[in-house]
Amino acid sequence: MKISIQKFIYFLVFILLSTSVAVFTYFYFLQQEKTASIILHTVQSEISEVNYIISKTIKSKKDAETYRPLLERIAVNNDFIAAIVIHDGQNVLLTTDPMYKEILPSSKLKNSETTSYKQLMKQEGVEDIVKYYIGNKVHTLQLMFVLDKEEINLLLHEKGMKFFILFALVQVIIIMLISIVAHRFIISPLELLRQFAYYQNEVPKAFMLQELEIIRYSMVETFDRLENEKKELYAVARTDSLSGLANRNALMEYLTRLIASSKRDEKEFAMLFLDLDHFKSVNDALGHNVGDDLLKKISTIIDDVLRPNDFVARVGGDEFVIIIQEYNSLHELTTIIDRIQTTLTQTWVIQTNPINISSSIGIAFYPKDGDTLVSLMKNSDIAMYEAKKNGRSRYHFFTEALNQRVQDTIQLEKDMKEALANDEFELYYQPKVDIGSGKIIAAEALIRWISPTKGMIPPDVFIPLSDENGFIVELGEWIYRTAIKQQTLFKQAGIDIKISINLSPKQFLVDGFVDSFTKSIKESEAKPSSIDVEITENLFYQHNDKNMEVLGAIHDYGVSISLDDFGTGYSSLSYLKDFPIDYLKIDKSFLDDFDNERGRVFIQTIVKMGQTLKMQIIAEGVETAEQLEYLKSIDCDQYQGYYCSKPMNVKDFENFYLEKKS
Amino acid sequence: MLKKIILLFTLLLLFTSCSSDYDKRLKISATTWVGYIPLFYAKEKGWLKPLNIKLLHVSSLAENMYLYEAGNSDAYTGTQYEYSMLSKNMKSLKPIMMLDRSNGGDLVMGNLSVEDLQNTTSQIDAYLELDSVNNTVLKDFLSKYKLEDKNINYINRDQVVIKQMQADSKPTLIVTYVPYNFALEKQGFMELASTKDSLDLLVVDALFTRTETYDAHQKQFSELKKLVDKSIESLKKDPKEFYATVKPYILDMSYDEFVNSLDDIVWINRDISPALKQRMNQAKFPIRDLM
Repeated sequence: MKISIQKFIYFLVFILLSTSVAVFTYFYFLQQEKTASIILHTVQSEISEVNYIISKTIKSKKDAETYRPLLERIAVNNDFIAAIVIHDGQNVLLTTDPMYKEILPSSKLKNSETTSYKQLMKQEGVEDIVKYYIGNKVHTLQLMFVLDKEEINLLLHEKGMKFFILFALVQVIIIMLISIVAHRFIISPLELLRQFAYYQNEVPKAFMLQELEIIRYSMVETFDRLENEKKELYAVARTDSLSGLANRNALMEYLTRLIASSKRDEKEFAMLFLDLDHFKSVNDALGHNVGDDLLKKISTIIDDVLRPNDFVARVGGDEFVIIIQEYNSLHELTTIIDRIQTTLTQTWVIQTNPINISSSIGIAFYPKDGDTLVSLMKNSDIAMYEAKKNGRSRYHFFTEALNQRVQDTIQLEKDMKEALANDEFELYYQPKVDIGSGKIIAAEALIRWISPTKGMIPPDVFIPLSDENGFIVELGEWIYRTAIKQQTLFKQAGIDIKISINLSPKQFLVDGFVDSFTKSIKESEAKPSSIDVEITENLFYQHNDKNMEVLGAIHDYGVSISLDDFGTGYSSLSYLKDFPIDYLKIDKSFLDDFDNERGRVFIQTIVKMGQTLKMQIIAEGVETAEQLEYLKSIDCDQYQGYYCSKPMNVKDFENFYLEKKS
Repeated sequence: MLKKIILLFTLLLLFTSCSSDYDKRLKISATTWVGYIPLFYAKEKGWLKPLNIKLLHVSSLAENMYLYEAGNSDAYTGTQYEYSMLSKNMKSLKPIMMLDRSNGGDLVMGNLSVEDLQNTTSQIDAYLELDSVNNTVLKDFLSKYKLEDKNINYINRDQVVIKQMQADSKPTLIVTYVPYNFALEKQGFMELASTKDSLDLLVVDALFTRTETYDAHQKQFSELKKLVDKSIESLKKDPKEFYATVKPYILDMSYDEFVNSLDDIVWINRDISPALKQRMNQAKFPIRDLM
């Protein structure tokens, strides 16, 4: 059973009250008995006194009247005596009050009650026998004191009431005092502590009782500590530990409030999504500690550049969101953005490493470009990617067209995956011709997407996207498996040529790629030497060591390596030296400059260089006989291009090949 | 809970403090002088009980005064003599209700005629209540009848005792008042002088109390005044019924004696004549606080 302290104290008060009532009752009857005893004693003393006087002075019962003044005086002066009567047993000789002139029977003058109070209540009067002598003969008279019951009852009642009031009053006052003291010093403080425990809205003042004060003090200390910890946790939960800027949580809270107030005030604000360009390269090249230090410095700078009313949060590795509310025009806004980008575009010296970095910023406006946190984040992010796509180190405003394009891309990504599942992809093959003999000695497998609804979708639409989103790994596997199988099928059809397969650098990063690739060759029973892998120069500076290891393994397995689009990327002679390259494919752009002397010199130089490095040279994009003649004149090994044939599906290729052979 | 206790306490106080207007008992003492008889009539009629008034009766004016002085009564009846005696030490004592003026009710009796008394050379026994108006009456009598030089033996007795005296040969004077004179007449005493015509003395009877007592029992006194008026009205309307009611208090007085005794007083409970007022003022008897 649980009971509140308040009830407990009231229970104690009740016990006290009950005890008091019992004590009161006892003393009430005690004082009643004592009062009755005194009254009886007084009257009996009076009657005894009067008896003595009369017995010593009376000479005859006729003299009774002479005692009237004395008896009247006694009767009047004693409140408990209503009348004094002298009688001889038969006749009343004297009465001080004419109302009392009857002789009361003995039963009303004596009783055997055990207590004075009961005696007094039952008796009507007190009687005594007066003895006197006439000569030597004894005579008697009866002396009767009639009790004034009304007066006696009144006295007992008054005394009782006084006793009751005094006693009850004292008890009530004591109980009230106990209640007040208990309420003031125990119940009320406990209630304050309870409220403090629940709401902590008002710290109770110091209590007088030591134990309660200790509890109060402990609670105050505990709540203070909890409050501080809460504040710290609140700050931690809303602060980016690295930069000290607001984090994503804080941004969400801030934006929720800002959107509400902006909606109410019909105000606009701009959300800037800032991403550092090539920050990953810094981490990869110089280590994460340098990257972190750079982020700290950049965070500080961004915070310094912004005005007090602006808000900045770090929401990702190198991603920042900046909210700008106060601007009068787009010009003012772009000035702020320029100031940010210009400030960031400086040479940062981090741990003695000079670092140049730029930033791309996407801008979305509330409510035009989004009226929710999610839409604003998404759209400013889209705009930021557009800025990156447009060459980085710039800013881009979100537009609906941009959004549509992104939506299209997202749809394309989805469609690509479905297309692979629905077998909508197909490999076309473009012949590689030996310039000396004019024979088709190899073919490059080229991916084509033939959608049943959209028709032919060119590879430059979906290959960059699949490379960007990683789908190229899945698609690339399908390509090399299909192409390797096709090499075997061609061979079985009498077309024993080398098949070139384009691989993406991302495929090289997949664990077990080499095993999977060589397994496909084994399973199709193709000779490794009849398989060629085409890579681009991008492979050289992305994960250099890993790529070299994978490429070396493939090459060691017997597969030849072609460097595609040579001369357009970041080729370096050292790469040609380090990587096992068998074929150099001169990019079509060089062939396009075949018309001028300088262009021809470049083509000839590449051919000579490649052949000097023990590589065979393949010219891409050959479209005219003149181009072919020139290539022959400089001893280029192979060519590929529309002059021979455009890429063809398997059936067309077979027909073309057999026809050419015959 | 605390509020409940306070409420209970308040109710208790209210309960204990709430009572009738007559919660304090008022004790009035009086002798059985005919002028005070209306009080006994009211008592016998049961009119005093609801007012919580207790009427005590004593056998002498002096005893009545002493009773009041001792604090055993709240108000007492008496003449201006008893008033002047007590007011010396009780400054707030005052008459609050006039009852009657003695018009023969106070008298001097003797076993010899005035002439015999003037001629006698013997000692004269004078029975009276010395601490009462009897003393004044006797002085007035001795003065008026040139008896100041006589050898007077003053004997202080209550009227109850005096009334039992038998006339004998020794020159005796008795100062008494109605109704004790009737018994004395039967026992051989004759009236020598009274306040009716023979004496110049003014004797008025009133109810006296102190200001504090009057303030504490104002309502009871006010109601008592009405009852006294009512009793006197009853007396005037039906003397027989009145006599029958108060008979136990007037001892052995017959109805005729009772009616005759009424001739010895003049009721001044309602109206006081200007002449009487003047006399009372001359006697320094305050009447401004009369109800």
